[in-house]
Amino acid sequence: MWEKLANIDNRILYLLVALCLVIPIVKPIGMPISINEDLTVPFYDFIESLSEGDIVLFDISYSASNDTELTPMVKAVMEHCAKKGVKIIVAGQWESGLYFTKSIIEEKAEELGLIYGEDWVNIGFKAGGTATWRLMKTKFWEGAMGRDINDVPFEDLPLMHRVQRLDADTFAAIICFTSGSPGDGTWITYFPEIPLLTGQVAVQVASRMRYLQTGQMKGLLAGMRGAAEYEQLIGHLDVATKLMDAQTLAHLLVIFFIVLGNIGYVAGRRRNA
Amino acid sequence: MLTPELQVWVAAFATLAIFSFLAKENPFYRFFEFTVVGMAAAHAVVMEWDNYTKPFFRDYVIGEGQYYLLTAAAIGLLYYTRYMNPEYQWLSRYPIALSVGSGIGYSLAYDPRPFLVQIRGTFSDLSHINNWIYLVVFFLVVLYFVFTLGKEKPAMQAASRSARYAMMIYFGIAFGNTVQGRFSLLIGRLTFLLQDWLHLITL
Repeated sequence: MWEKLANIDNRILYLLVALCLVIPIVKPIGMPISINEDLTVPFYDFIESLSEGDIVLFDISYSASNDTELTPMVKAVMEHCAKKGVKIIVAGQWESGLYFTKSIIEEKAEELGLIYGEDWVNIGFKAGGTATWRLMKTKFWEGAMGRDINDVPFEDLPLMHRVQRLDADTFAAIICFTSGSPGDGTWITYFPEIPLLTGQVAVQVASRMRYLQTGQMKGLLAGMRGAAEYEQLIGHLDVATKLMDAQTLAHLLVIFFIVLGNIGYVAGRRRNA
Repeated sequence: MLTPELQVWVAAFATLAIFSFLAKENPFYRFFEFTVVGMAAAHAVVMEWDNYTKPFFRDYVIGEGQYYLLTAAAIGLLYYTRYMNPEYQWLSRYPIALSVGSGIGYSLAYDPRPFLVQIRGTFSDLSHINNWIYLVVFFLVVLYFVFTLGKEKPAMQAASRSARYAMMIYFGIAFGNTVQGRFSLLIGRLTFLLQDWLHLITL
């Protein structure tokens, strides 16, 4: 029996995983979600401490493949900032991420009643790597080519008149949603004086914990779970919360397979001994 | 019930073609695998041209008459000598040296240097037991990778074994997070198929 289990066709396992994901997506269960006190709560508390009129920089540094994990975070944090009256400058270090999220962010801004040019501005993807961002530290308009994502000159956007430099006097925080490089490394290395909050894909969380402990990051949202927790905190349950049931069931299935595999391995060794 | 939008159908078919690899390697999977790589490269080129190169020449070089910037552009073009005749490939070392050197120099000169903050953080706040565990594991793992010291003595062997266990725990945590991340990707694709393509759910 153990040999059969050890040699089970992978396609059966894939089917079981698919069922564990599809069923709760179609018919949500509503499992409770606890809030991480070390990662999500500091992130929330920092945004909560901001004042009306403060400016934050959203760095959309991910591609379409990480949409499920990070876009719910972007929307939740955007809603929280809007509630606090915090102004948002949206930028990106990745060429793909900002363009596929453009319509999503615009829809969310419209839903929140934000006025483009006054409450938020999308300056678009900025090529050139760290050299561009370092130029923006002292000459923001020149580094950003003086135009937003829709090619509108900064002169026509009232909010941009407050943003002349990328420094701690102008920006209350940088909120980086990232799935790789370039991403939070740019801000940690070249802009350590500006408080940094990050939304990370789950894969990167383990390697980023050290920045949280040294204070180089003020808060961290960990994957779709972090997005679901943040939705709980702001009181608006959205996509991430609805999809956590599927995530949880799939993880339970994987744990079951691991336990079963290890039992089979030990049982097989004892029989052969 | 099904969406009438052509691009959603194309994306759904491409998604299913990639998933078909789970059953068996097939031409549909191959075709869409190559397509996505090509499209990603083409998209990057278009984005770079539209967001940087075009406004750079329009607004700064021509608009403000900063023609000296063309010197930097010429040095950057030397990167492409790597694809030329081998007798010219050495020219690509100049832009590489400039970009790598300026990046490293800036990183090392900037204060507080990120790695010094990390080192300082290793020894901070030793009033908490967790930070002591962190410090001990840190030294054990560093000792593990010091290959000039012999591992014959029992103390060294014990330290090496402990460091290995600690690293395995970390790799397990990283693997668990990776599994979470991969499931999130799959959930995203399934949500697209169920919502955007088949209209079976509304999130």
